[in-house]
Amino acid sequence: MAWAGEARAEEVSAAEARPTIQDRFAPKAGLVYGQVLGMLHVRDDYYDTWGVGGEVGYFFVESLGVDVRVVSIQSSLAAEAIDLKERIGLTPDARPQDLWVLAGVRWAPGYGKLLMFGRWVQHLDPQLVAHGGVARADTGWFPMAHVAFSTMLHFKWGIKANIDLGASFQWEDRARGRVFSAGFAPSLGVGWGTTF
Amino acid sequence: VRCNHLPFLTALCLSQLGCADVLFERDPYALRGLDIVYSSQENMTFLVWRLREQVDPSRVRFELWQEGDYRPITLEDAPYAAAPYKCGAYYLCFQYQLSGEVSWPDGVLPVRSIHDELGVYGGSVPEYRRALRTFSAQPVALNRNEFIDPGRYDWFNVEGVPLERSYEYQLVASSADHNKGIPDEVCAAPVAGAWTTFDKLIAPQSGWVESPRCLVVRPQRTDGRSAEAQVVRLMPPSAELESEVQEYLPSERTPPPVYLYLTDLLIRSEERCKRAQREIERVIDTQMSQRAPGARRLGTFFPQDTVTGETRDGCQQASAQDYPVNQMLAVIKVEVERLAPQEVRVVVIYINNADLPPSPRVLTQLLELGWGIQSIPGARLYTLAIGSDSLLGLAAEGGFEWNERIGWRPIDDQTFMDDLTAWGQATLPFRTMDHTINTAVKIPRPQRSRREPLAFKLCASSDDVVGYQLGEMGRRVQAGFVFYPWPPQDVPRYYVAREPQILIPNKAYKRVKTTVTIEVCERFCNMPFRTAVGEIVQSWERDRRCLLAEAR
Repeated sequence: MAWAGEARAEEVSAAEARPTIQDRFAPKAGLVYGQVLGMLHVRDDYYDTWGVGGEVGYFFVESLGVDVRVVSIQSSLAAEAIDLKERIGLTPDARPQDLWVLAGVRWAPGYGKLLMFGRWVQHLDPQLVAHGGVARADTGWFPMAHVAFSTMLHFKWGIKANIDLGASFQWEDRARGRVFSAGFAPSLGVGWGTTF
Repeated sequence: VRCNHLPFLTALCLSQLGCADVLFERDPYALRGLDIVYSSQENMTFLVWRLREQVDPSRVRFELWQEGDYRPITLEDAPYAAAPYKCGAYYLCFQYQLSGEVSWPDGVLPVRSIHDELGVYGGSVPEYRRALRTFSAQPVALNRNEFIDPGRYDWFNVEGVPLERSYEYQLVASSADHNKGIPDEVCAAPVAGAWTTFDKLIAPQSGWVESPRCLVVRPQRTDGRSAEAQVVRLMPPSAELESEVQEYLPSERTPPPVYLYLTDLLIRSEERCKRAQREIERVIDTQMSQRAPGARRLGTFFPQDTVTGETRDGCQQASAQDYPVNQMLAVIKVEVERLAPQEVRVVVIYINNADLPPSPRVLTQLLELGWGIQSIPGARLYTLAIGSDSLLGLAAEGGFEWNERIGWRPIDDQTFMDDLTAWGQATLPFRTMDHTINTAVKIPRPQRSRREPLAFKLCASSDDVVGYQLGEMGRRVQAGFVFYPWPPQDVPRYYVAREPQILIPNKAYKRVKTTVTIEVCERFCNMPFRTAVGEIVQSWERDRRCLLAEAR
């Protein structure tokens, strides 16, 4: 029996042998960060839309921060819309957008870490994000909002990454009046931050 | 609305958040309203199309379907090129033309637009039309032949096709008289290089009316070539008319009156009585001298005692007293005869402050005086009574009518003197209207006329005009919309019936203007004329109306 127990102890994995109590790897109270991001905007408006931009943010406390995001948008007509345009000159009344300017809050209610492939530990925050701001199309500026479920990943040397699963809500001025539209706006950002 | 990309988006849609909510609409850079017009007159196919006004025309070019494919076109090379121009409320228009009649296969858009960044745009289905005649002219000279309205007919304008192009003209000689002949036979051929551009009106060189002319009009091409289509029209000068409303106000004279005082007061204080006489006479004398220059005062007359024949002082009124009527009449007659032959207003001022009816004796004498004055040739009586209200009223019952009455008040009462002054202002001077039924009122040439008129029409006149005469010795004619020859070296005249006004008190004198509206024709009286409302009358002479005056 003793031999058997020793054998089981030897079978404890390296992971199980890691310490289970650890200081937070990336505390966010006082964190200032910046990131560049890429974004898609999908809302079935017959445009293929993507964007690149930047975001800077600051966490007052561990669970609450603010940020400002500016995204340059590129829109091009989808193939079926191009066909309509070239045959009879019709285009969607939603005009292509070229800029978003947003500001909002980030709420980080939790903190976690994942053991990845049994080889390293990934530290992360699940966050809820809410933005308000404006978008610009050739018809002018119009109001919009943006909410997202976000995951902030923390790496060595202050490097961070954000994965946002966001939704956009816009009130566009079109020929027929102000029109509400919603879309899916996922983004991936990579940046660096430090605490003060 | 499409919501099928991702489950997440589908969830949003299902939760009533909506999606892109897209409708398709005509893009601002897509052609719309493509009009294709073939003009038989010009043997040319015109294309006009529209983009929304917010487009940037420098970023768009156009391609035309030619020989089986779309090929770029340069709008500036068109026969009638025009920069993009605003048309309608929301559009920018473009135009291009092709020689001859051009058509395109079914299903082919003749023109498409290409944005330098956004690419190719199709457009709406074109509307094809044919027109036999796309421009014409019906010219008429205006404003004493200083301008010509070519009366250009523009098919495109009438049909709402916004074509932009200019026109040019030439005035060429005609071998026939003004407004005579068939243009193709009598009009000379236009000269190359002598064309002049015009907008709405033509401003020809002065003197063009001196010889018969024709007007040639054609569109002005922008590609340096000459338009083949042109219209030729006879170009008669217009009747040169002038009208005027002329007023006549008879002149008036203010012959000086003669006046005398009849004083018959009852005031115990001699000093107060004399003061009253002086004050009244002072005010009236002042009014006479200021307002009726030359007025002659014949004196102050007092009653005489019936027994002794002595003249009283005019302050102790008695029942037995006589006025020296014959003496007064003699004085008046001398003065009236001196002023003859003009008529003279004789003003008798009777002053009596007693609050009693005048005696029948005095009334009889006043009546005798009045009859006596009226019997003097050239004399016209005017009576002013200054006295108590009861006296004056009773005097009237006795058969003597006062022309004016002023109530008696204490001599210290300023309103008494004010009333005397007011009488002077209302009455003096006496005015005489210098007009009789035989007074000929001249109708001079209208001030704006430039030469001696050839003929005239009497367009309108006041009701008191009773007749017209052609010149001093000319025949009498009736008013009406017919034309009469203007009397050589003379002017027409008219006559006015008026109630005579002789020596009428200042404020009662009536000034009534007589108006006569005439229209004169100075040249080309049998040529066309366009009225202010746009009606073209072929001959001023043959039309009964006044053509200028009616527009006033």
